[in-house]
Amino acid sequence: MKQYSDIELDALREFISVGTGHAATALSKLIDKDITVKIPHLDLVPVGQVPDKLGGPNLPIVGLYFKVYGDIEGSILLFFPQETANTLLTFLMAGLPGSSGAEFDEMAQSALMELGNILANSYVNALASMMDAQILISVPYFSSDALGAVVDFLLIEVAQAGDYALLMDTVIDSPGEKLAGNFIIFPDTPSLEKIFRKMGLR
Amino acid sequence: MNIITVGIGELRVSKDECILESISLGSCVGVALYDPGTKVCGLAHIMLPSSASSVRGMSNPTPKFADVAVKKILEDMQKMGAVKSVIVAKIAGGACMFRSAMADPAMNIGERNVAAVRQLMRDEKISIIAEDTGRDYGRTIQFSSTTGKLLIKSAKVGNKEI
Repeated sequence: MKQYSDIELDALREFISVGTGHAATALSKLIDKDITVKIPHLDLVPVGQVPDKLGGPNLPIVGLYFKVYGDIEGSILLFFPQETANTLLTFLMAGLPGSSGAEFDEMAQSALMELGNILANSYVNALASMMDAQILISVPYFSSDALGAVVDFLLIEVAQAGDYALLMDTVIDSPGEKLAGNFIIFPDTPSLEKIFRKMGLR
Repeated sequence: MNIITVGIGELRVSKDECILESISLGSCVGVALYDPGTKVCGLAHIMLPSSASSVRGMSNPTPKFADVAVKKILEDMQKMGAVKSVIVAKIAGGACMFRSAMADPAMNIGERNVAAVRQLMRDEKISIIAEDTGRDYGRTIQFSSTTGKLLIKSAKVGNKEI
């Protein structure tokens, strides 16, 4: 199992803070609310423990998945508890009938995918300019279900390369509203090395 | 009754009365095996079709791979007294959890997992007597060692027993 030094973890924390900071700014502008970014949480955990670390396998969430390619390869998952996704929709689709519960109609799905698109693009663009690299993301993929079922797709990707996942999770939050969401990035191992090189650690 | 949770990429076998459970399967597949005579049962929560597909070729592949899990679960069950020729299987999971404007076959690892499990069962001459696989929703499964029934719970489509 690959171990990471404290310096490496600090560098990664700094790296993803910048990305998430940009995403939070984008979200703040979109819904006109203050959004704060918590200090990123980095943890090297057995793949099977990831759902528990993120809130438990039964938590109902909306997940937006993006394939990352270019100079960094891997995946990004942005997720919100379903309740939060419904709150976000009331801000995004002001005036239109909101959705509630676990069912998201096509309009709600499109709105959330577009939101995810904007946030994920802000995130990777910030990382790309920091690394002076080119990072692209796929179209958004949408899922609404229990957390365990939504994230197992990502864990499967990680599990192909090893039994541990370097979990890089950042929570974005709004003080006034219950708007907590999580940003998770899983770069593959060669991409992590590239990040370390760019941060002057290699 | 004693509930034993089988985590992602793990497997458990038991000869005692119990419920074997896996929580929130998405593209993963739950493989429940059962000897109706001795009531020895097992559940594997597999993530990937084959250890040969591993990018780097792990020296010590774990039961997260269907091929490793099926071999190990049959060995473990037989050690507890199960008779291989009467073991039957029920499988669940293998959903495609994400949808998008653009279809991408790479997203459908669930389907490949189910296909791999079916092939492994054919190779081991074990019949799959019931299954609930594919589609686009997560499943929590509970397998009863006393009845051999597999309860499938889904927030989206409700519960059913196979």
